[in-house]
Amino acid sequence: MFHKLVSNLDKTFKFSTVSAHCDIPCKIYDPSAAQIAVLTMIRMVDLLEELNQKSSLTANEQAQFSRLVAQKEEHGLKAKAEICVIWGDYIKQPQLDQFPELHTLVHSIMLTASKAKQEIDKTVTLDLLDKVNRFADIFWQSKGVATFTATCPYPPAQTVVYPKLGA
Amino acid sequence: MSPKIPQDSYVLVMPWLKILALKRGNIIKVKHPQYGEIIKSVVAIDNDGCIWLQGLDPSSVTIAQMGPISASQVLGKVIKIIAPNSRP
Repeated sequence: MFHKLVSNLDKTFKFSTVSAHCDIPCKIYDPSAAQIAVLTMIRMVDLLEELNQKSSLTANEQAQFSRLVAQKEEHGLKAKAEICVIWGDYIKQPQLDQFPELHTLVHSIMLTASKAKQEIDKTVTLDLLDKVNRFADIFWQSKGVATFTATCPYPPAQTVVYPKLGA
Repeated sequence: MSPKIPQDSYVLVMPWLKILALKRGNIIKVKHPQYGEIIKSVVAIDNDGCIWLQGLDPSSVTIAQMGPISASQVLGKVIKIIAPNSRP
């Protein structure tokens, strides 16, 4: 065998090695980061609504208002980025064949996330959570992992799709 | 570069062959600023003489992520791949 022959020569002459792989083989994909980002947006909307109930805002409350809006914006971008990475790097033809709705769903998530960023509207953020949950459900199904839904044990206490990971 | 160059393959690299004109499909050894010494295939040579590279595995980083390299970074041309279980 030629390879064996060269391998024996290698032991004597110590050929230099070179990599043929520049892949980034992390393969770590998890939609939970996107789900948590959307939950954060919902929480920000809740807190903004609390401020909105007041007739006037103190300087501190105005500062808090700005922070909440900024965080909602930041987490909207984060949710979009997390979904984009999974969609662009993990989703390939087999997943598209299995779940033909994926492209439309991801596009819809992008549009809804933008709308949720633009407005202080809980209905829109809940709609976004529904879509991101559906994306998470598809993601886990594509990996052969069953899912279940539960209310997240912290504010804003919304329904979230979780992977059912066995022991 | 899997599946063309499986893990533990030997490659015969001829440094002097780099002076010849490279063309699309050539497999070359380069000194990449980010990935170190690496073997990739030539996908294009642009009008500025920059060489664009890609792997053969679907999960390889993209051509854009590899970025262009200059001729001076080419260390040699691969003329023979000896994969495990291969015959001469």
